[in-house]
Amino acid sequence: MRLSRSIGMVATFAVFWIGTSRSEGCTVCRSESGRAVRQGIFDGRFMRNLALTASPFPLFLGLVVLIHSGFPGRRDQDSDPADFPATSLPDEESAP
Amino acid sequence: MTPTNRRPLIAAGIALGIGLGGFVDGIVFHQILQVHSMLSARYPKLGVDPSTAVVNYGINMFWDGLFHAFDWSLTAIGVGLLWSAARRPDVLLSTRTLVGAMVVGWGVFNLVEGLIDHQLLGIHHVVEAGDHLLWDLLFLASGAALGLAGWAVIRSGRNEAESWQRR
Repeated sequence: MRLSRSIGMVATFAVFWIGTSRSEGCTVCRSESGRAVRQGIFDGRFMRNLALTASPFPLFLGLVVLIHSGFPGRRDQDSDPADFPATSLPDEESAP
Repeated sequence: MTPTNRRPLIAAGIALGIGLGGFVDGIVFHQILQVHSMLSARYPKLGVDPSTAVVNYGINMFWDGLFHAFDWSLTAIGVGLLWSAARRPDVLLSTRTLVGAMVVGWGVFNLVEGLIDHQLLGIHHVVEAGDHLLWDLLFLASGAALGLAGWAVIRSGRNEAESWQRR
């Protein structure tokens, strides 16, 4: 009972504190430069900027997936990625 | 079962290395040194009037935050992969393999981010002021050096697997 009352008091204080600090501390909420920042972020270039910022990450993910699941043609789970250059040479030489 | 499979550990290490390498970039270059931001070539902070610079700082801070969010996601995936690898009986928990893969991941981050963001898209450069090409090339070279060094450490970790097999 005492614990739930303490949690309630802390939650009330947190909501009050976050609410007031947001209105006082948020630089993009009220000031003129803040409004300009918000307009600069959420303008017609937003989707393009989002794509630009995210652009390397699909490559990173693809590389991790490729190493985790195995390179195409070498999907046996026991093969060692560190052996890739050495063991791939004979296959290339035997290819017509 | 003899633990000899290193593939899951290497994948986890590379994901972690890419993520942590991204945090090094974000913390050191974006925040501490402030030599560039995510879109600082499009929203410049130099060579503009002070009020525009303040607005551009705010805009760049938003996109820096989004970059860190993507980077955090990749790091979390790396932690998940590491946990998954640690629970598999066929995976050898080799320190050299993990550390080498993390260094490779850091190198991959510098190479890919350098090629795409600095060279291809030109959304920022390592140092926005002055001759940025030299710094961009040094950044790429650091990626290649880290990649090669990490690869060597991973390969040296094979000895751990072989000595385990001999037990």
